Amino acid sequence: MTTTTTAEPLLQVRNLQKHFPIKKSTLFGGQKQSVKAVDGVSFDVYPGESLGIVGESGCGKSTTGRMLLRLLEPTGGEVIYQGRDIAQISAGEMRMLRKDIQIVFQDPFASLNPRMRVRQIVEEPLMNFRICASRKEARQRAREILEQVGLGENHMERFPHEFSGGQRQRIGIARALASEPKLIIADEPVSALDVSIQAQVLNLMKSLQKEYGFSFVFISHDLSVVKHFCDRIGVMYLGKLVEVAEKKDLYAKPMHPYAQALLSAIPRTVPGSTKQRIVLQGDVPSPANPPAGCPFNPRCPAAFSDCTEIVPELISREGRQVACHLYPADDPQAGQQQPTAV
Amino acid sequence: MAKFILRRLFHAVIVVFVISLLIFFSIRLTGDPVAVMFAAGEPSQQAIDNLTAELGLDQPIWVQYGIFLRDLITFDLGTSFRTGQSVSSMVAATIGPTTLLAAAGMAVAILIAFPVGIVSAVKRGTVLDFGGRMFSLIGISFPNFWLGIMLILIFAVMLGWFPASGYGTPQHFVLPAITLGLILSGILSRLVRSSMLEVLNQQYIATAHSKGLRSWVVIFRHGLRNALIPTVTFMGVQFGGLLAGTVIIEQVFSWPGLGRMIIDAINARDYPVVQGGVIVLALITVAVNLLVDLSYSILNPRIKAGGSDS
Amino acid sequence: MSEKHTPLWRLLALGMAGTLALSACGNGDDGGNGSADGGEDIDEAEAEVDGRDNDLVIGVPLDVQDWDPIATFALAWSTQATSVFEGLVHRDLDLELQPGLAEDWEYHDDTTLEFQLREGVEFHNGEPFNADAVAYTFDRLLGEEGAQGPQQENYTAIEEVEVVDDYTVIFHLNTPDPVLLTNLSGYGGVIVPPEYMEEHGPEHFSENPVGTGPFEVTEYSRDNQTVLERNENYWDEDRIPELDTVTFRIIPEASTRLAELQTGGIDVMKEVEISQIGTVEDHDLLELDEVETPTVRALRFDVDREPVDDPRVREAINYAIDRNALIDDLRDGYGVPVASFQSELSFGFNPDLEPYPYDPDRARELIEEAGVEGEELDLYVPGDDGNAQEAVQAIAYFLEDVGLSVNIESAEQNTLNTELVPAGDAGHIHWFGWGGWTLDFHNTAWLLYSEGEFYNPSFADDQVQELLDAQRESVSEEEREEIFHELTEVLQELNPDAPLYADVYLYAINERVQNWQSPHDDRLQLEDVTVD
Repeated sequence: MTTTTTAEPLLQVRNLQKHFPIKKSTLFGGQKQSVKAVDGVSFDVYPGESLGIVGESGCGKSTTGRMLLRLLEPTGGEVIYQGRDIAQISAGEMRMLRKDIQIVFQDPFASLNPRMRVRQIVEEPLMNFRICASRKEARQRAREILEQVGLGENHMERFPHEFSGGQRQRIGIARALASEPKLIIADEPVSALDVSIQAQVLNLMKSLQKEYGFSFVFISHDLSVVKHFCDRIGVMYLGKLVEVAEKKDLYAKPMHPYAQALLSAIPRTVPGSTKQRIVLQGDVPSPANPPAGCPFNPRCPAAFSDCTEIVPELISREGRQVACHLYPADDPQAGQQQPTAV
Repeated sequence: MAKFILRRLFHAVIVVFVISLLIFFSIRLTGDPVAVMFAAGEPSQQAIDNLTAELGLDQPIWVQYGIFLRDLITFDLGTSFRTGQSVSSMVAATIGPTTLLAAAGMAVAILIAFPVGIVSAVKRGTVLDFGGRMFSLIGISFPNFWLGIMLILIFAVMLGWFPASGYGTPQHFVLPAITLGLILSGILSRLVRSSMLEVLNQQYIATAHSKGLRSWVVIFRHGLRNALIPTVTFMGVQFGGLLAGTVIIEQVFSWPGLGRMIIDAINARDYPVVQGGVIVLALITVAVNLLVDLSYSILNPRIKAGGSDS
Repeated sequence: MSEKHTPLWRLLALGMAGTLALSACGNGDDGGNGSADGGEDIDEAEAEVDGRDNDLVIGVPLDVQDWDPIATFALAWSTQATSVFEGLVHRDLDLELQPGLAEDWEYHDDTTLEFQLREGVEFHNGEPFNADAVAYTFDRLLGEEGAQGPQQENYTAIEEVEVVDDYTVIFHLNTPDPVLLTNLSGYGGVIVPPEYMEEHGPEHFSENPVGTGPFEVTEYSRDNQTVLERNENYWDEDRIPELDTVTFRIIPEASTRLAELQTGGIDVMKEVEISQIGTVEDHDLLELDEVETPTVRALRFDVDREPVDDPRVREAINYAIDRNALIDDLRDGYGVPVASFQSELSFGFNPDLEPYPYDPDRARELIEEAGVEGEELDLYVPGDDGNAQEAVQAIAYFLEDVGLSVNIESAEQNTLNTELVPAGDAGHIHWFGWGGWTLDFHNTAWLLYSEGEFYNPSFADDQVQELLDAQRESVSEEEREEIFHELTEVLQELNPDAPLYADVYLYAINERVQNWQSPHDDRLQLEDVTVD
């Protein structure tokens, strides 16, 4: 599936921030500091597309995902859905809006209430969003949804702990699907699963997307999984997007040095492949104390003087967006915050 | 399930045996009941020797224990030195008031501790949380003796709302149950708070929010029901403490209960009553813990009674 | 200074009962004090009584536990049971012996005592009182059943009760017993109904007592309450009670008892604590009533131990203590200094004998003479008796003032009295209270000063023993009184103890109660009491 450049974005994210305050108590009172878990992220999600967000753990991708449903309150920026900033609407409106935006969590063991039966887990949103008028109807609908994710009638009265990890993730997907959402945030949906199960679950998600036409924001640290699943990919590093590109462009030629390093780390499927693996030096800096200039500069093999002083903007270039001083702007819109689709 | 209960009953038998051994010998270390029976009577040595022989206390202690065990097997707890009543009938007369007091105290504790603990957890870090934590700290540190007297002074002497002491009508329950409940709710609300905090950080709570549920639905349907498991365990474990708490309350509020009976019996060296009372308490505690274990399987489907799965 | 002396095993036993918080219970006296003081600030004069007409409610700290007269020595028993049971002899509120179920009696000789029984008396169940009932009562007391209780001991002088006719019995004694008549007025000497006892057995009787007294028990709930109703058929028409019912409520906590009195829950409070006096006195509707008792508090010496084996040291300690200060400062003046181990209520009390005066200089001289300055004495005190604790703190000060050093040790009261003291393990000095309930110095003196008795681990003196034996052989009041007076003088020279004061008991009474008379001996007699 490819995105159409002409379509209106389903969701627009602008300069989204999440700063967690940390207390640093000194002898002379507290000095207010914060961890910039997400520090000015902007992107669009189009109807029916799958946008991947990749990065190492701690880069802020999961935090970003949760702010899209306001499971976490953003500390800055906008999330515009259907013309409204969902960071600003009331809690009651937000609750009903969650019908349209759903989430599938990474850990299928932790994300299902251990005391509810599978049927109840799926029925609950059906009733709550008034998708079904009666218990009976909800039950029927839950059965259909569970069937779609490959679970039979005999599973309905069981508790989550009676299922395998892959089955539980199917339950999680069924639950997300129940409210007939337009967007599903999939936060590392398969990383907790055995490799042999991952493909089944991914295929299920893909086919469901084909059937219902919702969009995915697919959050993962695993580039090989994202490669199979997504249309576009954003690479995050230390709370910022450093590159956003069409999948084929990114995998063919990553521009940002961090993206290059990430891609080089993907295990080769072809034995004897000779591509040089880029090994990053040093650790990821603490988001509480990010380096000056480009956040990647301490580890960047190509860093030069500008990189330690000026924070690079995410600018459009060669049909993608990249935030790196190696690539000066090539069009008039350079330097603007507005990302554009290609 | 039946196998599980059978195994627990077997445990109970062993517990009772061990308790019987411990209580039998330790109560005999507290002193001579005969001298106490004469405490106000100022007896001769001859009289003391005679009465000792009459009560069979001059026999070797192992013989006495043998007789005690033999009787115990036939559910005969013996006869009180002091009242001349069978210990079973004395226990039967006092266990009701104690159980009712404990239940009423527990009910008060639950009514107070759950709202306080839940609000504290949900509003973590706010003034409400601070207030809730202060409440539990005060509850934990208040001596229940003192609290009981204060409640009597305020609600009976000053306001005249409730009787100061005694047993019989529903009004008589109010002050003792509140005293016991307040003390217990201190520690219980702290536990509810920490259990709730742990549960509220679980991912399935985020899942529940994503279903667009109202906050209170999430807190109660998804949060509280899961936080109940450690709480119920705690209440089971605390049961012994609850009974100990009732002893003081029974004293302050002149409640004719089991705890007071045992304390009086210890002071009077009334061996059979101490032995019988403690063994019954042990049985109750074993039974309560069994019920708690059984209730897990209701509260938490992951735990099958019998413990094949954890 | 005051170190808790609670043996580990005791804690163990308490812990077993799941009652580690017991200490709060045991120290109820102390605990109650503080809050009772707090009560003074509360200016509430409710104490109005609703829902009771001709009924009296009395709050008492302890329960009867076993109504069977052969089974108990508890003072709490006689508090209630005096209204229910009667003996052949009646001891009135002035402690005089009067005819009871016997109209008259006569000693034929020292060991033969004949009683003329009252006719037309019935037990509460309608059973007739007669010579058979008397014989049954004493056969039971002196036989197998009686041997299982502590009362038999007091009546061993009785060899046999002979039934002469329906209303005449003769007590044949194996030895003269000067206190027998007193003993027949209560406890083991009260008459029980033979048929009822035989039919229902003692276990039933112990909760469902039947006697001949002015009140009958209509409800008994252990550790909770007893309800007595007027005995309309009482044999003495002048003493048929005015009240319809009397309820005894068992309220162990003094503060709770006072609260019940303040709120009108009870009309009379037994055992008011010193710290509660102010609250009672400030209350418009409450009155305080004090009464002397035969209970005496004293310090006793273990005369086998150095340095208190030296009579001069014991004398010095007697001089060193300011008894009036103990009474005035610690007991609000409620107490009477005594010169011997008995109060003025006791037969044998010597009115000419003065207590030791407070003379610290004389004490210092004696200490110097004995050469024991600075020696440390262990002083044992019941840790669960707040009054005793306070008193020994003051006494330690007095003794240190005259050159001795004191180490206070606490032990639980029963342990101290029934184990440490008899075994001679209670240090150099121990605090000791003695009931003296026979109101005859014989019982006290014999058990405390006769060699080899349970409570007397070390004291022995030939002259004292001679006097003790002599009074025991005699039933002549004059002769015995003379012997006792001499005995008290000898004892004051030998100083086996330092008598301190006789207790004064305090009752608090709602003003609606009329004709209340607090008894010296805990035996409440309620026939004349009325309520407004």
